[in-house]
Amino acid sequence: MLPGMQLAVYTTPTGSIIADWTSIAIGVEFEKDEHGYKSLSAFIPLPFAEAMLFYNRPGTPHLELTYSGSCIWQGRIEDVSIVAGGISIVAFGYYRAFADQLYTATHTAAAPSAIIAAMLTKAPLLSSVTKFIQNPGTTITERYEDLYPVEILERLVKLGDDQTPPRMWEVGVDAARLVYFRPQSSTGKTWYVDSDSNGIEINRSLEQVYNSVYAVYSSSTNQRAVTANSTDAPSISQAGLTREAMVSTQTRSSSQAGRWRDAYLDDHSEPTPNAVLPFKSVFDSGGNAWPLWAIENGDTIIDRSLPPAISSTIDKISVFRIKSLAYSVDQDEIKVVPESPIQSLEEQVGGENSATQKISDRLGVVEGAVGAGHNISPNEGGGLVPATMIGFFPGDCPTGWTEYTSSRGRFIVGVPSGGTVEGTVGSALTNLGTRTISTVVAHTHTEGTLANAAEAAHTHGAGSLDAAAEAAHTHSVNPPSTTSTGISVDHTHAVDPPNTTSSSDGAHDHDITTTLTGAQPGVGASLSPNSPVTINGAISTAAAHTHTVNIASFTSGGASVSHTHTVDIAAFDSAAGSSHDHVISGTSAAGSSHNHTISGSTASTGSATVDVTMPYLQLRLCQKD
Amino acid sequence: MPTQTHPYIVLTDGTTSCVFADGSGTQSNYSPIRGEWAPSISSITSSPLVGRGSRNMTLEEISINIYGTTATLALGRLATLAKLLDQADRWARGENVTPVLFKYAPQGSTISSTATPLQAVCYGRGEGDETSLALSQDFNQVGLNFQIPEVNVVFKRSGDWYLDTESDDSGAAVAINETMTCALTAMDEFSPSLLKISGWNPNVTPDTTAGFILFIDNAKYYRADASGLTATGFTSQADAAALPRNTNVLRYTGTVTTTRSSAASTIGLASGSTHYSVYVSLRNNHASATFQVSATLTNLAFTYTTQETYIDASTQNPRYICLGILPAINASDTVKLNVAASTSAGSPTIDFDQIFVMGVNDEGQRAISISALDLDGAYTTASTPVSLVIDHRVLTHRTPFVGAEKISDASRAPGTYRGNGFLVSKAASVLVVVLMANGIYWRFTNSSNAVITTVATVTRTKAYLTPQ
Repeated sequence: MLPGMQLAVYTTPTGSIIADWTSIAIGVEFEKDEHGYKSLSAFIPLPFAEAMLFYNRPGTPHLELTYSGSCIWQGRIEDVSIVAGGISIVAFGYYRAFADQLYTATHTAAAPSAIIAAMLTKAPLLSSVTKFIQNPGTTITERYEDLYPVEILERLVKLGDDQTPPRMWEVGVDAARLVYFRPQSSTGKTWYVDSDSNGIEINRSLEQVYNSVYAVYSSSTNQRAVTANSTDAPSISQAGLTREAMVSTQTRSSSQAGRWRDAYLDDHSEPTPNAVLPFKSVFDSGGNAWPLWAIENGDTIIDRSLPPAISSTIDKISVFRIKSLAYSVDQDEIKVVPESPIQSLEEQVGGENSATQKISDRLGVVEGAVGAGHNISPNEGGGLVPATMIGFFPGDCPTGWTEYTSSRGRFIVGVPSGGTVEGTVGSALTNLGTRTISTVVAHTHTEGTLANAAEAAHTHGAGSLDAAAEAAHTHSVNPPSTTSTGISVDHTHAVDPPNTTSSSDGAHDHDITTTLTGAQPGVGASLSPNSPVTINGAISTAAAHTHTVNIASFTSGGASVSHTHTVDIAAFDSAAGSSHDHVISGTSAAGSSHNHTISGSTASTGSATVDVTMPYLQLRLCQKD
Repeated sequence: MPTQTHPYIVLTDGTTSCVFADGSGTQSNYSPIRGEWAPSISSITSSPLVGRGSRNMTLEEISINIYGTTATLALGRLATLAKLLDQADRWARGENVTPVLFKYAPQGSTISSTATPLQAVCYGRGEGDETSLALSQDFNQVGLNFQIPEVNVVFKRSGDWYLDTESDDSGAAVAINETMTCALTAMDEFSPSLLKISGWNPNVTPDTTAGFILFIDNAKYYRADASGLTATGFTSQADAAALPRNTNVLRYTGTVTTTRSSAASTIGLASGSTHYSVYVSLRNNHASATFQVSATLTNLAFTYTTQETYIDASTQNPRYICLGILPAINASDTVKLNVAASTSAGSPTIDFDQIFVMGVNDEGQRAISISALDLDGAYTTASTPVSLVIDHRVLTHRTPFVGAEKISDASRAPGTYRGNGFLVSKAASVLVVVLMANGIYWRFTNSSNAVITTVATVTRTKAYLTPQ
């Protein structure tokens, strides 16, 4: 029926494939229970070398069984055994991740759903999504010390919810590694089966039938209190007898005791049958056949081949819900374990619940493990309180306990190694007394950095900063070279050149230029106009002489010309000044937040009276007889 | 094909052979004793794993006489036979040796022949520590007769007989996500089928969540563009830039946190299928809001709904998911989507492109979930293209291969996948659909951000339950 599964192993849930074991795996069998995928075992034929490699492989490989894109089972391989011809592996569902890390925390008036959400940090393999962790409507105050989350979860599901009667809850992990916390069977499907009448075995016993129940609880004064009886008339009529039962509860709440009573009656009012109901196929409400592996824990099975039973609701034989199941892939066979109260349904319908287990599962009625504010620990259980054990009580000591008078007005301290058990120090407190001291040893406080409170941003106002006198000093000044802007202004310049005598140029000739042409007397050559001619012998060579030039003063024109002036004053130092102060006024800029370091020692101080009383609550310490 | 005139029976690893009957009627050196052997017929397995087909392994037991022209030759042939059976045992438990095949062509066959015999994989000895070879008390006469009489040969073999192969491709390349059809000769027995899909661009590094390769032997499938399923809360939204199959997608706007349903689409596939497997492409558009999505089958008053699938806000890109399996009722079956938003604040939206329904009822329909990132693997920077390969390897390996194959030299890189890779088929038409998104696109794209086109090739190794 719908063949074509795949069994493969991956490095992680989202990692690479390591091996596809679909074609070689032998004896594949998986289990599911109220926590989701429970376990899967198989034998994988491998040569020894490969078997050793897988055995030594680090990490916890992810194993997945799928069909057509849907996950049928998944978990992590934790157990590997090398056996003849290969390896045997056992993988566990991811609910086991809640058993990896220890959890210590205190939860005050917290919903169980909030506690579970907080514990997700201890199971990093799981999704952090809390959407499917429902709130049961109750709150509890608990402290957990060094507990595995799985232990806490087992307790939380037993606390039920705020419904009447309280519903059973379940916690687990689904195919997307999402954690769910919800009423049991709230998401189940309904399947129909036709059991083989040749293999049917059904028997019943009235041994565990109780149809009139009352609960015992503690009154506000720690006295024994009982609820009224709750009876199941149809059960009394059917069984032909009234059988009474008492439920012992660890509560001071009459309403809670009543809920437990009703739940117990609900579970025990009908006979608990043993049955063997073989079936080979399952059908949905439309009559469609489905593979057996489609059945999930939490589903309801209805056997259509049985006649109507005494109950109109779930009669626990022909109609029952599945608590857990085991499916053999090789054989295509399934064994389902019903929810309470069927005790033993073997083969296709098998189980082992007993009535005692049932009430424990449903209500968590394990002595010493129920009650708000209770601190559970791994060593706790069984409800046995050893003699001489001391406990706190908010009133008189209950029956079987005697006040531990040595504790009156004293705090409790663990005895040191080799110390005196029950030894006392100091005087006991009086009723609501306080303890003061009047002397404190003289002491100082050593230097340190007081840098706690950061200063807020602030400013400093104007003032006279009369700082230490400055020594005599100079100031260096180096004005920058500056060019003025060009400005057009009409002006004149008065010019008065000095009377100047030129320097002597020594003896020399002067060329004479004439306009005469042709032969001239006394001139040895024919003349050309405007050509210099040296008249030999006619003009004697001039002697050395100077020329005096005296240009009269004059005023330049007044034309307006745009021009600039460049001024470059050389750097210089001022004269040395005398010692002087500077007065600074104004307001400083706003500063950022900062600290101030204060050094030094505080002054030694004494003290007056000091109240050293620790806030306390007076309770009575009682010792178990 | 001409009629096979004489039986052909051989045990061989391709190099070393023990010929029980050579197909020509010549006396063989491993001669079966007349009337002492007939091929066994396999039963169907009860296991839904069907890792190597749905037939159980079966046990063959043959009594033979081993001959030689000398005692040494006869003893040597016994040793050869023992070596082959031991080798088969070692292969079956995973050692790196060549598999041993049992080949057979019955006398009178017009399908198998000496040249093309039926083949089965030999798994060595029977259950427990039984030996594969048992000698008679006349063994010690080998020195006189050069014969080892009445040697009992026992070994397991695969339940089916495998003949030759037949192959067909889907023709012209089509856009990815469209149906590719390969035409083959109809078979009575589910036959191992090698699937290759070409058209992947190796220069693209895909950015995708796992997609699905659907292998459909019964031609029972249904596809709906989700954009038409408008209803209260569901609208048709233009989204052409993201390359949906249609230009529009179906958008659900979470103005409430209760579950709302889309309009229904008629499937009409009940005949020939007992169940449907439902796949959907979707995109959570919100960075923090989450959704729960399921599919409901409706037929008159009957409804069946898959488990709700949690859609996280880890990505705002398209992705394909499997919603689960629904029963098949009749041709008027309809399917619709149910969506619940985690919050109505900000009216978060989720889009749907396609709904794909595959009829499932036997091993001929498979969905292989594969990571496109692994598909490219080492070939991301290669210059030659690759094919996606799902190879049953029925006659060579214990397990199938799923991954990429470089077209240039057929070198392979395994991929990470989920689903049974031992594909089988028997119908005349085999359909292949690749449902795969890439980055912001609803369909797988190449380096130019265009939808790639693909071709599927199916090579079927013909399988027979009985000798033919």
